Amino acid sequence: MIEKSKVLTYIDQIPSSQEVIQKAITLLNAGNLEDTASLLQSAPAIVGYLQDMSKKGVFPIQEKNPSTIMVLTFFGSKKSKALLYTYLISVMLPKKWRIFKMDNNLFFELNADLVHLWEKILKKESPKNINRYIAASSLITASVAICDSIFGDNEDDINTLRSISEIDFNGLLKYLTDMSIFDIAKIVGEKLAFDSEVIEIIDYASGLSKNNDTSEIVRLGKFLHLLLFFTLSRSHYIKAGLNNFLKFNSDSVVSILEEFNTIAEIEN
Amino acid sequence: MRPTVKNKIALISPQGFLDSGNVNTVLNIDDIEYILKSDLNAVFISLKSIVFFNASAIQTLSTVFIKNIMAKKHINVGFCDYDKRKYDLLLKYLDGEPKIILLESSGLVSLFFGSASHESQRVLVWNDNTVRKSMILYKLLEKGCVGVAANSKEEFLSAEDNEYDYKVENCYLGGSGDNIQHYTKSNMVVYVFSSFLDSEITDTFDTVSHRNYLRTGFKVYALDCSFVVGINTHAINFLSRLAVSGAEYNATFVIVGFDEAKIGSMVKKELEQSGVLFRKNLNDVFEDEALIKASMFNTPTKNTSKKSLTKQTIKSLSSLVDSTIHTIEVMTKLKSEKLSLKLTKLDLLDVKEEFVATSIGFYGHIEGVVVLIFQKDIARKACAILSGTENIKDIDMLDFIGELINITMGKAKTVLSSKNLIIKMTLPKTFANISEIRSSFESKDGVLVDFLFENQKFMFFLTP
Repeated sequence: MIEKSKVLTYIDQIPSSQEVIQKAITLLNAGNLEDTASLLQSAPAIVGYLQDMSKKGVFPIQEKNPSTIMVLTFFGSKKSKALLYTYLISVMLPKKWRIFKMDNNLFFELNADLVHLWEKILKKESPKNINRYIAASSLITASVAICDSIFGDNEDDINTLRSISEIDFNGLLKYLTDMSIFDIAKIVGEKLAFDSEVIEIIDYASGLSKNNDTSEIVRLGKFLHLLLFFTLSRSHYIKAGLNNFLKFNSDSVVSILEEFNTIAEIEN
Repeated sequence: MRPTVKNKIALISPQGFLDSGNVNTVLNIDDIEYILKSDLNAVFISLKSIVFFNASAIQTLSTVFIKNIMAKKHINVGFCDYDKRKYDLLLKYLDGEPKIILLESSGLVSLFFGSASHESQRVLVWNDNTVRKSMILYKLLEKGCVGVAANSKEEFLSAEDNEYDYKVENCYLGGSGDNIQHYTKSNMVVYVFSSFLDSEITDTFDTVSHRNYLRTGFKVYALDCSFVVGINTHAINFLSRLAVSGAEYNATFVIVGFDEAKIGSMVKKELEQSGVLFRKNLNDVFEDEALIKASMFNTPTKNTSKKSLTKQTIKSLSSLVDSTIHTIEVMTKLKSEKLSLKLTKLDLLDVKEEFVATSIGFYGHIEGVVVLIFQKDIARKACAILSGTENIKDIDMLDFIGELINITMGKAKTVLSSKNLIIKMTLPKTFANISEIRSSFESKDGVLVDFLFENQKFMFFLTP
């Protein structure tokens, strides 16, 4: 059965953020692509990952063996930074997806979907802080992988409990271990050296915070909560079982619903 | 999305947004197949956690409900858990007169269509559409509730919440299914008949479930005809046959709400000769000392005394026990310790601790009755995830352990079906103390498996 000690052991096993990534993110924040490229020469795995990503997507890079600076220029500083965070969270991928019906491709697709709209939200709501806050959506995606990894060894127990009650995965984790998926994401975020404000946004994105504060961080947390449910309402994520990832607090997002619908271009 | 099932109600609870892009995933072919195969009174989609839905989604779901579910099975379908804004949108998108049901909360779904009794619960009703208001009040009467019509919206809003068990405002019962509802109360089975009873009764009456209520040991059957406007010879013959067929199980049948004025003295006499009793209303049944005693009585009948556990049933014992123990371990977060397994009668003579129990009958490729006997504290712990707290009243705990045996047997059913053994289940019975358990099972032979959950006793008993 799942116990708190097992969760803490799991968190312990996640490698801390590599120094090279932290330095690269600082350089990208300053828009310094050339120095970032030089720095990354010492991390061929990361360069290989970025090269690989540049060949995917609707408009892939045409060069067979693009140089690091070419790849960074192709993505731009913001996207490069988002990709570094994605690389960071990829260490949390389960060896085999057992709780959610998904694979690594769908996981990265989810990350891309969240990043895409999150960036649009930040452009509208906090244009000066896009670089600082963009990582929040990746930490949310990471929590999906964390959830599958933690529950994966206890698939039967989880299925039994979920057949009994309408409880969501996050509620279940809280019931079993007294830690929510967001508590874990915060610890992991700190371990991977995510910005403290990003971790704060994650806290408010749980939908459980009763804070009526209208500060930017709280508001962004609400946007992220709604964004998560907008994305997890998509057919392929429902099929994957992600619609019940956590309990949606629709009351907490009423104040931002109209703006969200405009940003996400939702029509009646 | 796989629904959660409680009290014969399947509830599908999507979250976020509902539109044409995801609606077919919310209620897909597999879900429909599962619903049609299951023994359900109702299927509802909860809109509680839906922040946005559009016309296309609602119309598609309504069409799927009508064409793929209602057309194939007598079952109640609709939407629930919404506020006034969503209710107005639902009516707008469904052209004002939906063919499906709209209920404000899942609690009301349980009230109207669940298998548990809501007898005598007070419900305040307001709807500015008189026809809709009358339909709601009629349905409440049918369920034995006390429906109170508010004369104005102001009166409805100003009524104290604690005066009523439910307040019903924005609801629509347009497309109720027409199957015969049944529920259990005080270990009696109540069938609720309505409108005009004719030969169609043979299609809408669930004979298989009834036979298994008899097998499980239910002794008193109330046939509530309070809302029947008329009855013909075919239906009278059917009720008469029902009473005669129950005689070999020592079952008593009571017709409620029919008097001579309604059916004539000849017909009444004919039914009385078949052994049927007549009472004015359900309260007369539930307060009748002789009937209460009869409902607790579990003397083996001529038929059941011949029954014994088959080899195949004994072979399936480990699946039944494993499913039960695993589920209780997960729910209580405790490990079990198996103490003994023996073929014995369930005498429980040396028991000093407080116990509660629940039983359920199963039939199909294998048959039997499973009885789960819990020391009270372990029952309370097991029910915590269902109720949200360990501080539950004893009466609520009985409801929850009834739900629990449904869950454990549901799990066993899946395991057995993988071995090509198909079973169906009756509704669960519950027992509040040792004396009730003993009076029902002490003369029965069966397999008794004893367990401990942190010094708390738990018994699994399988009997024919």
